[in-house]
Amino acid sequence: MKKEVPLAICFIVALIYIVSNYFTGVEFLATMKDLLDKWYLSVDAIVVAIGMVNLAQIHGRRVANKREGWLFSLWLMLCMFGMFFVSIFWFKGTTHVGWNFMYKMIISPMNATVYSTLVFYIGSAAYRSFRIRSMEAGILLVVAFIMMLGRVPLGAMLLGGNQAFATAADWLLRVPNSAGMRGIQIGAALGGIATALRIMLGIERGYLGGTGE
Amino acid sequence: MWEKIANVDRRVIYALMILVIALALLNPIGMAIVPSQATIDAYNYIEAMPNGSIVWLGMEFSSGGVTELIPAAQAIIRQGFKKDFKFVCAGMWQQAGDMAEMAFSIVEKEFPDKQYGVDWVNIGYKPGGEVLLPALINDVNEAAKGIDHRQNQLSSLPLMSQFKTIKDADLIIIFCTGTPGEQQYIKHVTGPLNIPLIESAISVSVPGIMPFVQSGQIKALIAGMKGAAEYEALVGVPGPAMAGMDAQSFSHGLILLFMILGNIGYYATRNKKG
Amino acid sequence: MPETLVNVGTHLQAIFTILLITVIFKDNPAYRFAEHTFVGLFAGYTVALSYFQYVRPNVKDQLIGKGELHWIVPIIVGLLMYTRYIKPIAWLSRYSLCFTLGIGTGYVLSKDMKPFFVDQVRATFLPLWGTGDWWTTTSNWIYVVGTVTALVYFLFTLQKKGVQGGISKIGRITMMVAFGAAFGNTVMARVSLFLGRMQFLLGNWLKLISIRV
Repeated sequence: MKKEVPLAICFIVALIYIVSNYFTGVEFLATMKDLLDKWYLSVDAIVVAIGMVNLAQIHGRRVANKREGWLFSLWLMLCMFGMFFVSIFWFKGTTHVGWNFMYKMIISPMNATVYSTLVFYIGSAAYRSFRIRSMEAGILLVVAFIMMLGRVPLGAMLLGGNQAFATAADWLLRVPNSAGMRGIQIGAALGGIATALRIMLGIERGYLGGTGE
Repeated sequence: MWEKIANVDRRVIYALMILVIALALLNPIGMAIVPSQATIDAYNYIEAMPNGSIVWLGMEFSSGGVTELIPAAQAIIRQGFKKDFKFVCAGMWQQAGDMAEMAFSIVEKEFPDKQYGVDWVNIGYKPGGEVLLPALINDVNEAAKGIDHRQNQLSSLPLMSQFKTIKDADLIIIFCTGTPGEQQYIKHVTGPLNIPLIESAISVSVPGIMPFVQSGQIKALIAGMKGAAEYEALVGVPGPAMAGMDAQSFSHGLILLFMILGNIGYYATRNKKG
Repeated sequence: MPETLVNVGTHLQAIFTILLITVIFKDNPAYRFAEHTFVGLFAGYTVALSYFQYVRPNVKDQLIGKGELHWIVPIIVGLLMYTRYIKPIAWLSRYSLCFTLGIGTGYVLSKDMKPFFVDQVRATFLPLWGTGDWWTTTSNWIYVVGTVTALVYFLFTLQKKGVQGGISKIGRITMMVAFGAAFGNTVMARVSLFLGRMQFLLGNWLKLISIRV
């Protein structure tokens, strides 16, 4: 009941998808697959709130135990539940001016800003870690160098309008980069398929952990 | 001196980067933008589509992709509306609906005759990740639960009477920052249904996408901000991507300079220590 | 959106942008305030959006409106995920997890093989002679050799000695070119992120440049 039934569900559901993919004329299988697709969308929409529950649990504990930074945690929960309840009971949809204000003026720009700080870390990392310590590191640096000059107009400007850097960068992207990436991606695809098979057959069960017993 | 070169304080690098970007934006020198073959291919492919085609726009990104992808999206919308394309947008990413609204914010001013519901529809975000795509192949209305991003009933929008499933799209253009993205479209939609796929991707994803371009699974790729700037140039309406290329150039130059300095410092101090 | 709201929003956006960027110099309370505000608002936004876009029409129109009772199944399956937080019945969440994993593995096993393995292998069969253009022939050789050697690099069951070691080394060099290209492109992506915020600060907020984002 606690392990076997869930594993059986996983196996049967996966089997329906596989069989329906290869036996396309069987209406029952196609209908089952379509129904499962629709159900999945609903399940996914409902489990979205798990992030909110997680945050409430972690930050709720910090507030309750008055740990360092608990005021920030309290503020986070106020913002989270405030945004949620105000949206549901006041905005009531994505066309309300309040919703648009919150998204366009606060959430979206903050989201972009959080990511934008990465530029500083990559700049600092390039300076501190990009050392030619071996032939491979040298190749990596030279390619990065050509790419960084070829993907911006600076490369052409330095060569007095000649597009040599851009041409080289384009070729590097299309040929050796694409070949290396393809090798990695074929490996990853086979790895993904093998892992999926292990999960389907119940050999890989690590994901069942964290729920006791 | 070599020690100093090898150990510049990271905050100095940060401050210089801010300064360089700000100066380049305040005093642009207008470096020439020469469209690459890849961007020209994308432009020509879209240009060759028949007038009035229905185009699916997959807005598979969030605010982090705005700078690189919105300029490309807006340039494509400009090109498409000139050819009377009809656009249907949706996405597996939560901010898809808002991203589409941002991209289409140019319509009211530049294409006053184009109407929402007739010339374009924003279905917005729908949950399910990649499972959304097979659901869209079956029935768009059902997968979207009958409502668009603006909470209209899809059945009330004239364009949706011609667009019952994603199979009705003549061309699929996606704007991606990661997963779910092109791989999910190739796997579920464009591969099995043989619908052409064009992608605009952020620069960081470009190397990983190249094998799909080489295999023809992606017909053309608009690569990052450079691609977006080139597309703006091809469409003939300069925008934020073109305006940002000077700053891109100088910040690249600064990072390259620090890479060189870092290596000089490393070798000089290493030999000393040795 | 009314003009006043846009103005207020622009100032708020600018303040939060600056607060979030300050972290690159030093972690500080102002940054932590902005960070917690963002995380809280974003979590609330995500759940509310999911409710507007899917859960509400699903329950109101389909389950209650049309009486399509089968929608109770995904709702229950979705809600079971939350039993993770109630220890005695935490195992029930496995039903939900296994259902979603079943669909995920089913799709991987039925759909991944062709586009990510067969089509990729097929696309690597490039003409190695008789292309009529020496540069295309050279590029094709590099492509084929690069892909095959990158794949050989991942054969961990064979010792990397002799011929196998040599082939692996070529594979590693190919991948270094790919990583160099990835680094060069990553720099552009990260600069773009920050550039967008600077265009906002200098354009929309301070009105020093004509670009508006």
